[in-house]
Amino acid sequence: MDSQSERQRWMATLAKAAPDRLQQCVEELVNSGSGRLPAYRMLRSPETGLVMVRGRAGGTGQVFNLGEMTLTRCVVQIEASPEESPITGFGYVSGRSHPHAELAAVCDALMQMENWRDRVQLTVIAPLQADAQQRQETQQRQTAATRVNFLTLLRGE
Amino acid sequence: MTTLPGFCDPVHDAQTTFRALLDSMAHPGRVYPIPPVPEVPTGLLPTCGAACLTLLDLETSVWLQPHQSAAVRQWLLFHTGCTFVTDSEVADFAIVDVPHIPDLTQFNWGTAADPETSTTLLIQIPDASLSVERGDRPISLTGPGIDGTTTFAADLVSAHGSPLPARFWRDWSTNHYAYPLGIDVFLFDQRSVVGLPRTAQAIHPHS
Repeated sequence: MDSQSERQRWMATLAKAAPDRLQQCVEELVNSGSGRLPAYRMLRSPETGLVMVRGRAGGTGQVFNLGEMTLTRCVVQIEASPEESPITGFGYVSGRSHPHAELAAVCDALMQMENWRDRVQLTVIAPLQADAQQRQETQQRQTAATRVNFLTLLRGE
Repeated sequence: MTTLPGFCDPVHDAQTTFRALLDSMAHPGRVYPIPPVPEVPTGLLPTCGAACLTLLDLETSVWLQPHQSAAVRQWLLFHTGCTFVTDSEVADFAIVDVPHIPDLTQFNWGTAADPETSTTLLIQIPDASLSVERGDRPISLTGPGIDGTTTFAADLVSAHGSPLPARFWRDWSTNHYAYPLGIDVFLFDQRSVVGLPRTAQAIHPHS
């Protein structure tokens, strides 16, 4: 259960990252290590489609269809070693960027491999998380700057 | 989790396969080649695999024979998202192997109001080669889509293989006379498909 929520976290980080930034991080990862990623093959090549986003008012109301969004998904497989079963990485990202979905899937697979996990965490996931946090803080600051305090004035009669 | 990919080119391969399936239903008894899926799990023919990837989706229910492997189930689930049913009478599609073809009566024949809701049977004949030439135990067909009569044969390529059992053709005649109810069948060998819609009447020399 714990490893599942951990995986959900890194998959979310990969999916929400800016594609260019993710590409840059993966290049850094490649350059820092053996010079190349392990060989992988597509179980499902990147494909774009629509998904219906559903929601509940207040988290408890009736389920309703909020609207459709564009989504690109990709599944890759890495043969870690002949005796172990292959590792499968999933990438589901919003938008139509095929490279983004592919990189997210590859990073998801690498995060499940013992000998890659720490390096991917350090060079890809951590910087992307920092970016996301920075984005959120900037957004909050900008929102806070527009804050208006309403005062009720007593009208003298 | 499946370990095998599906179509190389999902859009065009599915379109080509769909066209072959459509043509084979329009011309019963003619042999149409299907672009095979490069890798299929054991228990599924490459041609039948291609047909499955083309025809199945989230809304279709599939019945597999009990001896069918878990790998086939997982592969179909991963690539198509279809639902599996244990009751063959409610299945939209059923994948069966020669010579273990179940009675055709155990599938859904549709209702008078909705005859199109019947089960479509995908029959795999791995040891045979389907051909229009007069071969071993040819089957003559007549009906819509056929000019007069046509003949096709499921010739065995290996001595130990099994052809379609004679029981199938007896069931088929019952199926044909139940029109507009009845099931439709696709026969698959290693390379191609032959369509057998419920309108096709079989004239079997051995019956």
